[in-house]
Amino acid sequence: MLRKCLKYETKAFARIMLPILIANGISSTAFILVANNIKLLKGSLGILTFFAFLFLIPVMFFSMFGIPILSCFLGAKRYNDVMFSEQAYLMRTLPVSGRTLIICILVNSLIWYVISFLGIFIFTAVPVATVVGDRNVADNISATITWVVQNREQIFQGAVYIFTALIYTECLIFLSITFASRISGGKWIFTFLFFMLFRFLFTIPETIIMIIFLKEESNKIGEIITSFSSLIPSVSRGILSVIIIAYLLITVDKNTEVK
Amino acid sequence: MNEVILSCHGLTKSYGSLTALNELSLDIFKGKIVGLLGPNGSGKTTFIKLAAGLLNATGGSLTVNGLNIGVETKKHVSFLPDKDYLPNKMRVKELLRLFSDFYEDFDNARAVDMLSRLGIDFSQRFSTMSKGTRQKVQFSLAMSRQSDLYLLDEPIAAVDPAARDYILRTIIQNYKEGSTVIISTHLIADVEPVLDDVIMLQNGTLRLYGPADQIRNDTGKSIDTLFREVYRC
Repeated sequence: MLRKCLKYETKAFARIMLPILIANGISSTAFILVANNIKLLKGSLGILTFFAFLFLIPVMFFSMFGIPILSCFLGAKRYNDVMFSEQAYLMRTLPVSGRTLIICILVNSLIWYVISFLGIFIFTAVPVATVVGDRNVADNISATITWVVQNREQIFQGAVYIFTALIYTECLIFLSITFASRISGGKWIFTFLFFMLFRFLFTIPETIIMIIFLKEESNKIGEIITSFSSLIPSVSRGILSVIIIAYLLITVDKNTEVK
Repeated sequence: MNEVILSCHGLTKSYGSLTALNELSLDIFKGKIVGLLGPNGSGKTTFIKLAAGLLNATGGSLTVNGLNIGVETKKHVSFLPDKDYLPNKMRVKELLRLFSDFYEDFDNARAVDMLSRLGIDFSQRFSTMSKGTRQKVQFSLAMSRQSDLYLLDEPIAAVDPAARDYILRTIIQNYKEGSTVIISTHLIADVEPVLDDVIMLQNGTLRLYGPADQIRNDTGKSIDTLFREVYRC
């Protein structure tokens, strides 16, 4: 049943995410074509700059922030649809446990986060490589890859930071929707208020973890920890996400109702 | 046939301070068409949603085929809610595939036949259908399962009189031999001819439960007339 559920959840995600991804690809390709043709015209730097602003900035902005954030909110929307909305009358009466349904949503979110990160690289690095500098496109891409390899530690930390921030936010929204549905039938204002409350409450363990790690700074383990100090928020968010997911999986079949 | 399909004992469901079902105890038998009647707020939909596994009881027990409500009972219960619940973006043919995938007892050929008779376009999206057509599609999908228990919440409320006749005829003709149909409705006069048993609820408690013929003989009134008298405002 997990396989069947995954199939339908993947379709539900793809129905929204795929057109956006394709649109992003088309925009990037259009930028490359336009920018390279303008390069042929001598002294057209003004036009080139104009097109760069017209295409590159929205494409880059949307690739870097839009798709991952959209994946996060789509996951939350799917959770609300599947567990509490009218559609829950279909999904929750299927011979499938609530746990399976939640796992399918989370797996799809993870898949789309990975696709988002790849999208960030493809939809920004490649167009930039085609127009920046005097070297040819292959050299530019090669230089970009070299830069990525050289700075892999920072990039890895950045990627982990963004990834845990997204999954943590998604888990918090899941939890907020669940609690809001218990007291108000799922009104959005209550979801928002619960989200703010949990966000505040969960800052406390994050702070405690930071204090513990900073105390350890004097010894050797502390030095190692400090060298990865930027990972501490990511680790605490990861731990909190796992706790929230475990709570939702344990309670879903007994406490989650379709009112 | 006196085998019990659904059994509840001391079944209670509360929403905060409001008690929707209060210590309800009854057995529903196999092979019956049962009318679940009562005014608004009497607990009909709550009872059906508990049996479908959408709600959890506050107290008491509820079993279907001797099993507590869960994944296993959902395999044998066909549920039709009183609202549009199918995904708007899906086409009829996709819905057929979904039901075929998840329900082992789903009879695809029967569903195709029922939907064709109703003149439903298989490539039409659910969102573009009229309210009546949506209700027909949902009903056809629910009745195309070879389930032990059918839970139909207001199945004829949103359709025209001709479609009502079709739906009632389909209930009689299409449900699996030996299975049970529970119909929750306000339109008692329409469903009365098909009912074997009648359950009347009031304020979450059992007001009356018995064979429809016996109730008619004992009271000398139709179920519809009796309902109007019992629940007169």
